Amino acid sequence: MSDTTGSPPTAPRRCARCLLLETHDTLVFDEAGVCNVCRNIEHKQQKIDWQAREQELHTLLDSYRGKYAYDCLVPFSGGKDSTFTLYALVKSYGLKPLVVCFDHGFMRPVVLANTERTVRQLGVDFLKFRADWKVVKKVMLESLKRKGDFCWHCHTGIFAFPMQMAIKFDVPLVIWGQPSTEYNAFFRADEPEMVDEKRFNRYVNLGITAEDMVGMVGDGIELRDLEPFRYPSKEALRALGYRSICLGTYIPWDVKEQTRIIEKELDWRGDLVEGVPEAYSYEKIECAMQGVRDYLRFIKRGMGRTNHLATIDIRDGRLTREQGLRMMEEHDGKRPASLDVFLRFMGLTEAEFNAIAMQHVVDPHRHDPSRVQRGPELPDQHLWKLE
Amino acid sequence: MSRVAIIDYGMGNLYSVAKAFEALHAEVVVTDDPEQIRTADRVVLPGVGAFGEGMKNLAARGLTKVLENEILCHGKPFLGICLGMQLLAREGFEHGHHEGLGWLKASVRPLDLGQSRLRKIQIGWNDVAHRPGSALFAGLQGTPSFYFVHGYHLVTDEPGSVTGVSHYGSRFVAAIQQGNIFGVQFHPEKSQESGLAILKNFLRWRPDLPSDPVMGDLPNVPETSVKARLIPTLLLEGSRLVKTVQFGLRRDVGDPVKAPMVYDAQMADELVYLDITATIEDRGVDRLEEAVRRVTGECFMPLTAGGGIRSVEDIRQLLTAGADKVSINSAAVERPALIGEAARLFGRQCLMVSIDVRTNHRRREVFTHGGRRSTGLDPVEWAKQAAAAGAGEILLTSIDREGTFRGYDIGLTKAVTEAVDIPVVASGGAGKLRDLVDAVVAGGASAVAAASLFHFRDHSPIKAKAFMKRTGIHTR
Repeated sequence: MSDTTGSPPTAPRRCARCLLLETHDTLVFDEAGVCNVCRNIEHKQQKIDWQAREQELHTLLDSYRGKYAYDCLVPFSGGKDSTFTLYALVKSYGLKPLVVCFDHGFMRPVVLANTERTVRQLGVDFLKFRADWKVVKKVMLESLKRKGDFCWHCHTGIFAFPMQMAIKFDVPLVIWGQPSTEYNAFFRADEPEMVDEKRFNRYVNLGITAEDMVGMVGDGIELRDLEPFRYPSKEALRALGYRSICLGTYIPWDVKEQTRIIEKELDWRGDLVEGVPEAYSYEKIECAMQGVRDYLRFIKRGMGRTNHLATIDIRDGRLTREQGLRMMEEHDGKRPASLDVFLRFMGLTEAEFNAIAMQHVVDPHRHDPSRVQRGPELPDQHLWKLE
Repeated sequence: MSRVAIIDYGMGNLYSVAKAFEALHAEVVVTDDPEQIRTADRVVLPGVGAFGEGMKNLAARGLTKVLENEILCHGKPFLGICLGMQLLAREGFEHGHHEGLGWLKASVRPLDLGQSRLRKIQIGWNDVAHRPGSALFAGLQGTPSFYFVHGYHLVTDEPGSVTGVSHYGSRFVAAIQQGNIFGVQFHPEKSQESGLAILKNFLRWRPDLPSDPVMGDLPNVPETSVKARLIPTLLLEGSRLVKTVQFGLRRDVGDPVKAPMVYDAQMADELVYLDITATIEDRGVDRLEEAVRRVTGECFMPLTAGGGIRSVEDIRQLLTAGADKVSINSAAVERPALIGEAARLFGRQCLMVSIDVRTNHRRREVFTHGGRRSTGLDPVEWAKQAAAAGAGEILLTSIDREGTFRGYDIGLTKAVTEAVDIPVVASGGAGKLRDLVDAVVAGGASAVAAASLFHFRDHSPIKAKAFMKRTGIHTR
């Protein structure tokens, strides 16, 4: 018996249409070299009868309106998608929502101001929750080490906590913003996406439930300390008779147009984001650590935030492939200035951070640290208070 | 609401079938009591195991007559699953010639592999082409995949009753319907969403409604594209799951029930669930059975259970709790006759022999008792012997590579896959996505097991299978 060292890696492929790299989640290419996310979007743009869908939505909303203390629950971050969702449900559909914000602890000043303005202007009941900051720090480190992704508390809290509140306040209808099929292919685009425990486990929670995490992190943490991150039981959800849907299943999602609407109607404001052209100041402005998150993804998968944004605009015909490539070249992969803040907060050195990140590089991508340049500091970075 | 009687005749998968129907809000009774069968609205005959043993058990419990009466005379909706469908034939040829129930003009014969070099037993997911308009497949698009575990298939004289076909070396019957009698060769209770859709359709079908629309022709089914399986390994230690390195150093990797639920959602093809201290602590399979039972209640996907199995009674206990297959290791080495005994009772398709290999004095050697005990056995020779004795599948683990991220031992994998004609699951060492591909392409493995890859890297089965697909490997 002989031993082999395995086959050599080949350079990652890009979608022939949208520039997504094959390291992105569940990407596969068809004979034309076009990725399954592009095909999902094509389906959305061509095959769906949006008028019929909106009629379905009206019927669905009618069956809940006025029957409970709140017509629906809207999970809310203050970013463009949840702000538009809330705006549309209140203004266009006349619902009385309970607005629930899971605060991940890294909200930037502009988003906080947006949130205040939006909930006051729209006139809605608003609930905001932040988990124990010491617990958050511990689980961040654990998930960074295990998955090369420090955002476990945020992923799980955002999707689990509002469901807990739906049960607590007896609000069976929960309405989220855009379906995941806009960005990845974890689900088929021809079926309405249910925001349920299966979806939570498939790709939201990094494959780690609170019950898993409690034994991983140890360090005196009990399961009840992780309650905000825990998906409610099937029995409790069944008793509520819940329905957890995406508004984007029923109306075609158009980020740019929707941003224009909330800017005009709610005075919603964008912000600069690290590693992203100024023109995209509406995207991912919520989190101070977005730059670090995107940098990690670049190390692991070779894809930065600008690449992601370019793919959306290319599919929508707002950008050519060549323009996209140029934009990526200019903005992606910079070492964010906010990494200093992150490292101080986590108590890690940059060498330790890099070593963890490099463990998580995804085949067939290879990261070359020698080519990394430092990016500029955001104007509000000095205002962030993490401790 | 429909009351479903699941026939208990001592032949496995009762619990998993019951749980799947319960998940669809059906009222379920698992029974061998004729009165219960008479009062039920629907009857399901599950079955894992050998043909002769199945017929013997039905007869011994006096069930033949009541079933004939309820199904053939009273026309109660009936679903036979896997062996439960095969028993409807006139005769079967597994371990000798046996008479069947004779409800269908059919016989049960070994899979016809044709000119292919396929493994003798089909274990895994395969596409099913179904007849348009057939009630069982209502709402399922294209050629959905289902989970199969069988070495024998139904050969029918009445092609008109075939509603679903699949291909493994040659075309074979995947589903039939003859009036109120439905049968499927695959395991709907273990085929995740598409499987539950089948069971739901069965619950909805009503004999008193106007007959089904005329069924169209059977579409062609593509030639076998055997799907490589991706199998997360779960190691139970006490009340938690752990991950080891070279069978030593342990790290907590999750909750015994929640972690399998995650893999289920992430489209893993199968789970291997092992109690890693049962043999060393000499305490049997009770703890494992408890875990299997809980997992079966939540995950409608294939599950192999192992660790601490010493006897056919232990095997029966685990199959009854919802395991589709069992994995035996130390006990098989100590008493190879156990393999044959179990194969005769439960059918070889549910018997995985697990072989742990460690380098000892510069040669590869089989170790047992969680890698602690040297056996002097050569892995290839032992694999051949196990296959000849009746093993249905080999789980081949390199202790040297386990938990190290260094890749599978391809040389070992290749040597064993070439030496036996049953499926081999490569295990130990997967550290990057490319390793999975190498085990299948260079190693010839039918399936790849992995754990560290999912616990300590940003990977999941659904992402890893997309990678495999991109390299041209058929995956579900």
